[in-house]
Amino acid sequence: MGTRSRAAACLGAASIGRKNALVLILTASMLGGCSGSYSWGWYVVLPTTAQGLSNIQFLLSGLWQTVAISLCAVAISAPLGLLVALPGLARNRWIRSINRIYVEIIRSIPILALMLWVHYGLPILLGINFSAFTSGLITLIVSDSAFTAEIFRAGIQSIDKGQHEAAEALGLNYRDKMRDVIVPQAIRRILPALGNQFVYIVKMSSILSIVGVFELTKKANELTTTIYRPLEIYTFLCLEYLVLVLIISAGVRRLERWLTIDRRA
Amino acid sequence: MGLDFTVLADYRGVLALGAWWTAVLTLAAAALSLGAGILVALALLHGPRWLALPVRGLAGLFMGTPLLLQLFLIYFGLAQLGIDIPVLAAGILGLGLHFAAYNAEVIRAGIGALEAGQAEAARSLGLSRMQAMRHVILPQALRDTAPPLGGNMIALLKESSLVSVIGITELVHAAQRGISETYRPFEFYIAAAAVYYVLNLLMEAALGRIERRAEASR
Amino acid sequence: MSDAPGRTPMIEVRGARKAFGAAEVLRGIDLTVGRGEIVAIIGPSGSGKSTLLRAINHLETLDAGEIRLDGRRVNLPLRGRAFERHVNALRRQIGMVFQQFNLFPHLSVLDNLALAPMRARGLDRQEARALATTYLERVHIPEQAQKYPAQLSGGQQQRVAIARALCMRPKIMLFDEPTSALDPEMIKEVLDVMVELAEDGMTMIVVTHEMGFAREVADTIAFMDHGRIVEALPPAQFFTAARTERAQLFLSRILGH
Ligand SMILES: Nc1ncnc2c1ncn2[C@@H]1O[C@H](COP(=O)(O)OP(=O)(O)OP(=O)(O)O)[C@@H](O)[C@H]1O
Ligand SMILES: [Mg+2]
Repeated sequence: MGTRSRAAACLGAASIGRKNALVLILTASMLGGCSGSYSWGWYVVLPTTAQGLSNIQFLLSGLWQTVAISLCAVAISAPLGLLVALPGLARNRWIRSINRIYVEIIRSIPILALMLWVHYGLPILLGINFSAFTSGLITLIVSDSAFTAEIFRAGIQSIDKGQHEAAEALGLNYRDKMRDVIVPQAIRRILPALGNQFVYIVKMSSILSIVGVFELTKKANELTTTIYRPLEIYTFLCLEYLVLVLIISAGVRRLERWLTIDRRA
Repeated sequence: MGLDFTVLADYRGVLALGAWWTAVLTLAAAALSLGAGILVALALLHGPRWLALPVRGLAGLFMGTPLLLQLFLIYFGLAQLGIDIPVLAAGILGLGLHFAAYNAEVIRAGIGALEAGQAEAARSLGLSRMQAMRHVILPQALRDTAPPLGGNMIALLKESSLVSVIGITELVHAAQRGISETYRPFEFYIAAAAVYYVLNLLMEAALGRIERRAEASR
Repeated sequence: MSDAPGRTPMIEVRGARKAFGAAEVLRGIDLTVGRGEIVAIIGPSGSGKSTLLRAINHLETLDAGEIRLDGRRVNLPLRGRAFERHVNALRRQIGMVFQQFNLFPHLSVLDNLALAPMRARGLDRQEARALATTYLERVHIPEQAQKYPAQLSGGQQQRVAIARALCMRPKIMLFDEPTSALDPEMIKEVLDVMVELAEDGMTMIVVTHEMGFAREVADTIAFMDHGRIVEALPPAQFFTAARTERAQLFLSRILGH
């Protein structure tokens, strides 16, 4: 459990309780309300006017890209992270160093620099151009897989030695032992950390706007350049991300409850 | 197109300046994030009840939304309100507050883990609540949470690259300038990554020392 | 000993040595266990009892000496895949029960039992579950099949662990202090199951502090101290006429005088 709580602490334990959801929304609108002398222009995102409604539709049209790219990234990087984690558990120093090199290098490069490199640098090296979406996806996958690998490694290492021995004493081979005994237990234990990492990816997908992926942030930037109302538009954008994050947190908690039901009593 | 790292030579001044600003930003934001993190943790644990709710909400906002967006809001949004702050200050404020929220979570957990026994022991020695917190609880909590706090600071170093989008000439921005003039993205981003790696190593070495010292005082 | 003449013993340990760094934990162990024989290993903490059991199951690698299971060499100097195949084949013939149960907490009781038959013996799920049910009945808890380990008492958990090992139809069962983690009122239910196993003719090596069990059930009591088997005698002789001073000292302590 030590590694688990530490992993959660490292990631800042970003999962937000349902009770807090209300507080968040309230705070967000309070921030909107305290104005002073400034005259707010909420009409730009008010669904009651035709203009506001079409603005909202425009802003929300980036939702699909944000969701799709985050889900794709997580779906690929989670198994990839497990694959990267496994050599990190080997006894052989050289095999272990494969894991260390991958994780250390990727984790020390800012995701923004990685993305710019993938989008503008890699095509020169390979001679193929990536669409903004592809570059963004590659970036998120590469970055996330390194973090996920560390989470998996910590989770697998936190499983009691007795579990390995019991499985080995029954004559299970390495693959069966990991697949049926160790990894399922590790996954239950690291679920909160994986959830936080997913939240991180959703938030980080905002930087894909910089290379031109038409996700939520890019849409907001575009709208800001036509109607100069950054405060209102970005506040609305904040709410969009908040809702996404709250949905993910709730989903992860559901999953956790479902997986631990009856198991630990 | 082959690789040619000699183009970097003409830009070493620009890159060095970028690295300098990255370091300054990171250190300033780290200091802010720790100070504010402690305050937030204390406000949540011991502050008046009316304060807890908005503080928790704000912290949740900072953790639940992208940093990029917070930078936009602080820089462009505040300007729209007529509050013009220098771009560097906006960058430090954004980074610092964002990570303050994360640090507060960690510190709060650290204090919570200690509180019962240690606080009672300190109070029984006649220390006031403030004194107990300041001299007994907080130093231990910071020591115990040094590893995750260090992890947050390393994340801060990397995410400081995001302030390039509001126009601070830190490392990534410096690299982009070099690229726009030479069209050599590969070389410049590799160089920038290398510098981050070195800064990262320096930071990890410093954190390692702090952790070892903290460990020794157990 | 109940060993029929001319037949190979079930377990044969010759000159087993093992050191962890500078600490010599096994210092030349010789031990023969015949078919259907029950050996109780006793001795002070740190004397190497667990290490010996683990070496028989190849959870520890010996530095020197050899171990044979039913005539086949256990500790072969193999590496990589060949090693894994060899070791897995052997372990399927050896059942092991741990002090801490080591049940798989994420699997139901039935699936704890069915896992190894499915994976290591190639049974399909239905066959494996049927087999599991039979062995749950043998340890008298068929009604707990659908529960998870955390919902059982310690005694029930240990009985599940015994049934789990039995599901592989092992030639020999190794027990490492199976009752030491249990509350007193649960010790008996586990020992009863072990007595029944013994009556069915199972070959067993049991590390234990339960002197009553050792006296009643074991054919041989082996006393270990500092990495050696100092004495190995039938219980009647051991308790009355242990020759060495160390064994006498240990006995007087553990019997509470
Ligand atoms: N993996 C290991 N690494 C280093 N030392 C070990 C290891 N396993 C066991 N030892 C040491 O070997 C010695 C014998 O251990 P072992 O577990 O075999 O004793 P034991 O007779 O089973 O004792 P107990 O009654 O306490 O279970 C002990 O001193 C122990 O500290
Ligand atoms: Mg032992």
